[in-house]
Amino acid sequence: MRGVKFKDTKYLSNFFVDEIKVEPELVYINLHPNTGAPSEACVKVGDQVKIGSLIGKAKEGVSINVFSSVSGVVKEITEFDGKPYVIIQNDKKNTIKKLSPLKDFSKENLIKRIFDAGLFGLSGSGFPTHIKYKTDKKIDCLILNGCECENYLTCDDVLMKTKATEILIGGKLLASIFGLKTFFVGVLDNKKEAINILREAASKLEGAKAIIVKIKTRYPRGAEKLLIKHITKRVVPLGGLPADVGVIVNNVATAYAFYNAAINNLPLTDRYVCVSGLGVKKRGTTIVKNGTTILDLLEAFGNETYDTAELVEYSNTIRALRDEERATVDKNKKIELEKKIKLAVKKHNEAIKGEVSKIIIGGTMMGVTASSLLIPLGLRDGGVLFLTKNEYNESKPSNCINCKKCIAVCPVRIRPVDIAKSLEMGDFKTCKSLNPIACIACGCCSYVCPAKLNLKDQVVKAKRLK
Amino acid sequence: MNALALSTAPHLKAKNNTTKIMAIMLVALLPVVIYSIYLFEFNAFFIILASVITCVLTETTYNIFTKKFSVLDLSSVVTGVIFALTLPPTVPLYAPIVGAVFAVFFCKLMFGGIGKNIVNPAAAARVFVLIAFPTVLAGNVWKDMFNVSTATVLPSINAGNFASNVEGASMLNLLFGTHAGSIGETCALMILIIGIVLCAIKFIDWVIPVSILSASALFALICGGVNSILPHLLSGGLIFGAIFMATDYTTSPRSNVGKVLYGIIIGALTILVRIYGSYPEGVSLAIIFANLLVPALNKISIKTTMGYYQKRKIERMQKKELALSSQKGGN
Repeated sequence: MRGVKFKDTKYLSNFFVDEIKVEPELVYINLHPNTGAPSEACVKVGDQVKIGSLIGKAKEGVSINVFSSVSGVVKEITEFDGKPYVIIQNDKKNTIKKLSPLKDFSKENLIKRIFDAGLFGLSGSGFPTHIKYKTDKKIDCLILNGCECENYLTCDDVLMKTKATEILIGGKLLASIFGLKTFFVGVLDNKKEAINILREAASKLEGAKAIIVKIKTRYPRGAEKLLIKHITKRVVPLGGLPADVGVIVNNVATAYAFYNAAINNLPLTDRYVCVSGLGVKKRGTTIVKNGTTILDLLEAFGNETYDTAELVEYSNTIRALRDEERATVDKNKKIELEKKIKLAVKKHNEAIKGEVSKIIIGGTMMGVTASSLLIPLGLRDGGVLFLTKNEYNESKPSNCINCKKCIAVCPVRIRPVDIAKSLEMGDFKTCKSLNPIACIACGCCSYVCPAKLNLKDQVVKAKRLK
Repeated sequence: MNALALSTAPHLKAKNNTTKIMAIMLVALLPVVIYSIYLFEFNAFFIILASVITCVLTETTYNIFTKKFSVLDLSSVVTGVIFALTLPPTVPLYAPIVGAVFAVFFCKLMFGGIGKNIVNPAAAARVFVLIAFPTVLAGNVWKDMFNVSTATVLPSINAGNFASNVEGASMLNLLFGTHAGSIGETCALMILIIGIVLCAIKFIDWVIPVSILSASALFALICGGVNSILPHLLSGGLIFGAIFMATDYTTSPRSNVGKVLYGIIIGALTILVRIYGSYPEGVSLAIIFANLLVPALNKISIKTTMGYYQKRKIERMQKKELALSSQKGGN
């Protein structure tokens, strides 16, 4: 059996918290959350926007539309970490601008709606959905991915429990693009409640048949190509796309977003996000607007573990300092201000009391660590984890003892240790012949390594060899 | 200093480490050690103790000079125990001490420590001792611990008068270890059971021992007939070597094809050395020889990558189509 198994950590946050409404002061909207080209800002500083106003227009090719997630005034258009951002001041009126309603559910209209609503892979891949549907290959199978095999994450679980009917209607519409009458929903068997709810909803679904596939829990069962292999017994050729074997896979969150876009005429502006980990006292899953910072989320959840007032004060000073820094032209003064910002960030991070020592955006296996609470969440991020020292382990890498555990565990059957060693020696020809391109970056090899080597990073590096 | 820890994914790691692997290995070796102490009393105990202490001291001294602390991973203890178990119980104490220094210093640390050695330290040290002190290790001077007038079976197989000796050391004696032989390699049954357990918990790969034992059975059949299969398999260090030494992670191949070839080389060489060579025992020699071939064996592999054959199929079809279309164009 390939892949790994975790202790159950989903119980921490697999419920919807009704009472919490996340209303950030400022939202930081990323104009390049997808793979491919960034979208182009089509608003100016000072413009009035509503929820659903277009702020980033898609470029040609692989690109998506980006919409405002709050109503208010555009405060700034800037760049963080090499990505374009639009900062919007929230006026908390929540006025909504809808898309024009669809005339009919024809194939062209539905694909155009996917593009217009700015849909892209919400499970973390960030691949624009309309590109998937513009294929000229023959598609005979649609799979909705509700596996969520990652540790801790519960956003899809809660979505399936609360919006099962909507997901299935979204799936039905997506299937109708290719004239399909049946589609599959893959769910892991650690989400029994969600499976029951989905099965009930599927029995009431009209016009199409939804088959709920129960899959044995194991990481990374939810990976696209593994899911296709499990459900349809087809194997996607190396370096190919699911469309090559006539399959399209969408996350359940994408199907729900498509339901919203096609039926409710709402573009993609928010998503389900879970707050979990033993580092916070209040956990759960709720709807979060695009561009909300971790701090806003924490404030809304009102965790007693943190002195949120102090954190807000620090973050406000950091914001003020950053504003000042951007406004100044003088170089010396800029350096001085940068130092001040660094000091303020340090103080801000020290104010994170409690036992939390690592904040992860995403799951523990594929997520990224956050260096501060001021980092905004995008639509790809399904969860924020506040981990204590006991929940993760850090250890120094030692010599590889050639135990071959990484080879035994790899779900796509590559040999991580061989790839890492040939890369280290500079033998790129051998390295490429070992097919690192098949890697799905699941991190199982790094997880099992007794020498604590970061094999996944090496394989991902080798993947870039052309 | 940043208060939040940063790292690349995955942030979660299994609670498995090198020290734990070595500890499991020691636990697996424990029954063999206890049984050998029961059989050979203080002789075995002192040899094992001397070997382990020397191994640990060598690595500690090296650590002090290089300021890298690696002795805690228990790998030198494992080397010490395995090496001691390959020696006969009558060997004078200087042999395990010299051999242990050779194993840890020359075979492991000089190559860069754990995971970097190219031959199995215990097997190499055993061969070193065999060459350095031939008189104390040669099979025909092994004293019988039970005052029964039998020598170890192997020299007699080597001398060709196998049939007359096989009664002295019956198969039952070989299975339960009540015959002359090295400290740890006597009780074939117990070692086999440990091996099966280790394979069942996926601690070692079953491919290597199975291919070693089947290859040696085949070669014994070819070279010595049906009657010599069981004595060859059960006597000497074959099973011990197949389960504890050949499966050493560092010096065994990574690909499955490589593992099978590696096993065949060890099995075949063991029997060939036993029958045609001048040494009574060939397991350590065979293991060292196969270890040296591992880098080459690693290169022989079948591609199992998901989707690789599907990609090849598509490429072949495209080529055919191209060829067809060019033919049509030519006509």
